[in-house]
Amino acid sequence: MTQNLDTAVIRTIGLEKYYGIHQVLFGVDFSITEGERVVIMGSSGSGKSTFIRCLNGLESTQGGHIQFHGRDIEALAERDWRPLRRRIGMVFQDFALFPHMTVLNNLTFAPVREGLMKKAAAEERALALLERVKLRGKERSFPSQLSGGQQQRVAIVRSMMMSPEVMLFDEPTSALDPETVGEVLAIIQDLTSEGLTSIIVTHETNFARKCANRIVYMDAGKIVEEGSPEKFFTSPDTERARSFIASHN
Amino acid sequence: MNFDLILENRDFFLRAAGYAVVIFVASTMAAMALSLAFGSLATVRLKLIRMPVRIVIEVFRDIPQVVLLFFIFFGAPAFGLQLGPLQATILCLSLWGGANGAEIVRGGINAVPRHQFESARSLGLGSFSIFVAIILPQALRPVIPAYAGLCNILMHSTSLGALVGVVELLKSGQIVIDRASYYQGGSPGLTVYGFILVVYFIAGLLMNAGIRGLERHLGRSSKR
Amino acid sequence: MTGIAIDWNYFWSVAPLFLRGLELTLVLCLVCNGISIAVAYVLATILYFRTPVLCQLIRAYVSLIRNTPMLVQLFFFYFGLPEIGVAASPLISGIIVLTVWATAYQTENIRGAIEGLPPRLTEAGRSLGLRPGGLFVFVIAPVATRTVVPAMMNTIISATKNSALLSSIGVMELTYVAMDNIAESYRSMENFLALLICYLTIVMGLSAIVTLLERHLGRGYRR
Repeated sequence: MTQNLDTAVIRTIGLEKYYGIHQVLFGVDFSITEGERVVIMGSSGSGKSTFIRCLNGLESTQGGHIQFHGRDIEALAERDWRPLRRRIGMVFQDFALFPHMTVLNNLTFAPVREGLMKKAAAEERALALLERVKLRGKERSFPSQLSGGQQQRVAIVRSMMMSPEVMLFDEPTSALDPETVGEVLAIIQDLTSEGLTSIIVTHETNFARKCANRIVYMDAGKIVEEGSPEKFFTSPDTERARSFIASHN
Repeated sequence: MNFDLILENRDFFLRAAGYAVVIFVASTMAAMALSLAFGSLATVRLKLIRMPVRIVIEVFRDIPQVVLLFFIFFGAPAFGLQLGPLQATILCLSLWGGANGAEIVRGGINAVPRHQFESARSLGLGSFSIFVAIILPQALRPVIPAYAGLCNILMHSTSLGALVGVVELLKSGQIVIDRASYYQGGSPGLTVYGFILVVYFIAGLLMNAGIRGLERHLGRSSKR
Repeated sequence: MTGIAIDWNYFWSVAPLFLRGLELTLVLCLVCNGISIAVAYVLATILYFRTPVLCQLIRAYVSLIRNTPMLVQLFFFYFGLPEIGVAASPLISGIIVLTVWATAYQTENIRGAIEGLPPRLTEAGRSLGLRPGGLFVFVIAPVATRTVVPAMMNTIISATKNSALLSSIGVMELTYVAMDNIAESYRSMENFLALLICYLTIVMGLSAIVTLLERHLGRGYRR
């Protein structure tokens, strides 16, 4: 137990979450070590999105612990979450780009505004990241002028501007047209291939099979099964996971 | 502050409130009829009808209520029409409410998808029955909140009657203040006008609660 | 039916008076709407940050103004407040009441626009580590401003039309000029025609500005 604590970047212990009197997370025990790529799967309403949002401090929790490098962070004030969030990037289902800013400003605004980067350095990094996601030349466009897939690629690199240690992806392709899902998944695979610790909530089984080091399967607010993709997709232990896989293939 | 003044004039204020209610109810009813008629006419395909209707609606919406009221009260005699303060106020609010309501109804009708009309036509229904039975019900339900807002304004606008001499709440306040300052000295404007503000405020709360109830009721009957 | 005939000589003779009334109405429109929009942004900011006590006070103020007639508010201020020693000239009273009235509506407009923004916008800002102040000033407020423009212009137009009520306490704006002329000359048609032209020009001018603004703000933004 203590040994694990040292290598886990993020760990949750018995995490519980209520919306009013309605409980949505029933004691989630989870950990991710550096360089790991974990895909969280589960049917809608299983609590997977809520769970990943807890890890970014966007949801309050009512029981258990969230640890970042062994330090409890679940009870931090909003002010203390702020520096942490720069180390834990988050990508949302619906991109959530700032609609009134150009692509370049979307990328540079937060780091420059918060005094973490000089404007020139931020722009340089932004352009390099845009190059990497094949969006060089779009830096002066507004989000509304881009396709959904392009917007999500911008959102991904926006959250990577400050070189986070961990990336959280909350169903990054659910809001996309089928033809653009592939390009976004390829980008995520590329960006995380160099050992960027990442937690990805998705329904894309092919992506999970190819890219995940580990699959975590959630059902009814609990983790009911986890293991390597081969194990999970070929011989899952639980009946729930079996029927989930059957319905998603 | 002198609350006895309010109590002493209880009956006078009640009668004045009665006038306000009469103005409100009469003009709301008339405005509703005008809204439906002109709102519908503003959506007909025939430009010869639609354009003049829309222009009239626009003009009535663009001039201040009080100007319309003065026009009706002071200007109508030139047309051979002599109206008392009460009739003039009711006519003014009816026309103003009718024009604004017509714009709301027009918006509602235009928001009904075109295929509703076409599919009803393919069932062999005539234009008029399609409009009354299919289009209007769908058009009106979503515009209830906007129409409720209009009723709220109409309620507030009953106070304009004071400017042409209807003894509604505001005018009754003015009279009570004048009498009090004549017989007792001082000017109890704060107390009396404050009281009238409170009366309007409470009436507004009651009306909004009523409208919400109505909306819930209609909402329930539409879901099944 | 003789009364309906327009005496054009008279009509043109009162034009200078109307121009002066028009000037005051436009000044009222500019001053009251300008101040009310600026103050409404401040109040909406306080509401957004849920500043205790102030927040409740603002809500009470907005609800009180929006649920009572402006004419009664005007009489309360102009004829009522002298009872406790607060008195101002008709013009100043009119400006104050109209501004206070418009501010309540504009505050509600801005609050509604902010509340209507997708919650994801705030979350995205938070997850990027932006402080609430920067997030509000550079993201929430500008994005809400784009959606609030139609409602805001409606209130501006309503406030401008409501400036006609100030004639009842003796502010010499357009309506006052017209009614004063009628009382003096008994020529109602000419004066009402002039009044109609003035108000239609103002309101249609404002509506044209709305259309232009919407087109401008919509650039590079709308989906």
